[in-house]
Amino acid sequence: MPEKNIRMLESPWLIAALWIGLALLASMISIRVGISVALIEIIVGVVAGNAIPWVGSLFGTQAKLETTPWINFLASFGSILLTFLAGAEIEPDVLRKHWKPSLAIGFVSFLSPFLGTMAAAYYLLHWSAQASMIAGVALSTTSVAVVYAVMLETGLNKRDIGKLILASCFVTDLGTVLALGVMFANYNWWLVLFLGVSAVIMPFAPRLTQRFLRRYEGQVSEPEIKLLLLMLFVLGGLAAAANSEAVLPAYILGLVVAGVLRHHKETVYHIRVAVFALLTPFYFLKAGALISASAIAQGALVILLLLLVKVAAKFVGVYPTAKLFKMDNRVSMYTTLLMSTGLTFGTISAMFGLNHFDAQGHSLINSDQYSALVVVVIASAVVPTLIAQKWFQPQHELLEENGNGA
Amino acid sequence: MIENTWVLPAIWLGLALVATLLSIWLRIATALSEIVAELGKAAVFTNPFAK
Repeated sequence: MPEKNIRMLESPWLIAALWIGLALLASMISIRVGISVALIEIIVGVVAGNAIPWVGSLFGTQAKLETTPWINFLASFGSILLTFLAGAEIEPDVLRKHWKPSLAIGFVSFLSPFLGTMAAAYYLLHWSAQASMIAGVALSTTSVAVVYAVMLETGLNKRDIGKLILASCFVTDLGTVLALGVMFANYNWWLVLFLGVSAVIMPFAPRLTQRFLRRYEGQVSEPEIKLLLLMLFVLGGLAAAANSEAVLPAYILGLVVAGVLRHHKETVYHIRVAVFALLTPFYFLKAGALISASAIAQGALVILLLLLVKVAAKFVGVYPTAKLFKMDNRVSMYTTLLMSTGLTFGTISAMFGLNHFDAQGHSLINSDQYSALVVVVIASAVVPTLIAQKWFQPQHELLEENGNGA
Repeated sequence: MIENTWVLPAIWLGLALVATLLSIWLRIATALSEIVAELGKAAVFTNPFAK
């Protein structure tokens, strides 16, 4: 290829134009078909990541969907800010009001698929112990993004059942994030420093954020957002130094300041705009681009097995627990199906496995295992949601909603 | 440690926060105070004896 053409492909603006073009396409498809933009971005990433090298090979070039250090940074930044927002969506009052059922449902919703899929990966698929742990963590999650979108769409977010399911999602994902942080951390002085700094920052974060919001909200330069970002970067940096994951402090910080941010919707809106317009497209497109089409074809049975084990384990754990709290069959099924969804934390955990290395310098999971896990995560975001919406939507809750004229 | 992905962004964002607060207190443009903060950083972190 002529040297001038090679230089053109290295131009950061052209690389950025390609990625943002794909993000634009994904946004338009997601609006047209009414499916979560995260899901469509992953699918567009899969198509582009596999089609570009194929088209390039037809012209005798080695073209691919380029990832650069700055794309990797934007993608990581997107994942921690998205995690922070997920934590900030939880209303502390709701968690307090429904603490017993949400703790019970959320805990079994984490533990049952974590143990089930980890055992399946280790004993049936003969993955390494660390790869099996990554599989367990990635497939134990519940997607706050998917569940929250469904709740908003159906209006259940204003009803007790919707609030209970959202609070349970929080408990499940906290289990996931803690498992990821605890199982793969280096137990050294960095971890002690990370825990010490977190113990200092977390209790003061709500008061400090409140103070900044009272004093500076409405300023064009947004000091309150910079303060939140600074806390996220410092805690994320210390977590990374301890070989843990930056999403762990991000989720907890989100929860800690949730009570403050719920009274400042405009600030949350500004963060959300930056996240969804600029940052998460890089994260989800990259997550999709790393999936190999040939690995999916070769690993179809593995994908099917892990998906069945994940959903079955969620049923074994969540359904009886929901019945214990006197939910009827329909509501118990609906809760179980929604708790079976996965997306953001699932892909974050799989990406963590691909990007982190064991003592011998091998990544915790290989690219075939990564592809299988992310496909299972995507399938679990779509299939249970469709079944829940089609056949198990709690009608009486919606009738009550309409009867109230809400 | 400086290779850690989050350290450099934390330093830059800390400077941006300082500059933003200065600009609000002194009622000057944020861009101007950010340049001053960057100059301050350069003065502190640059080795005057380095060629």
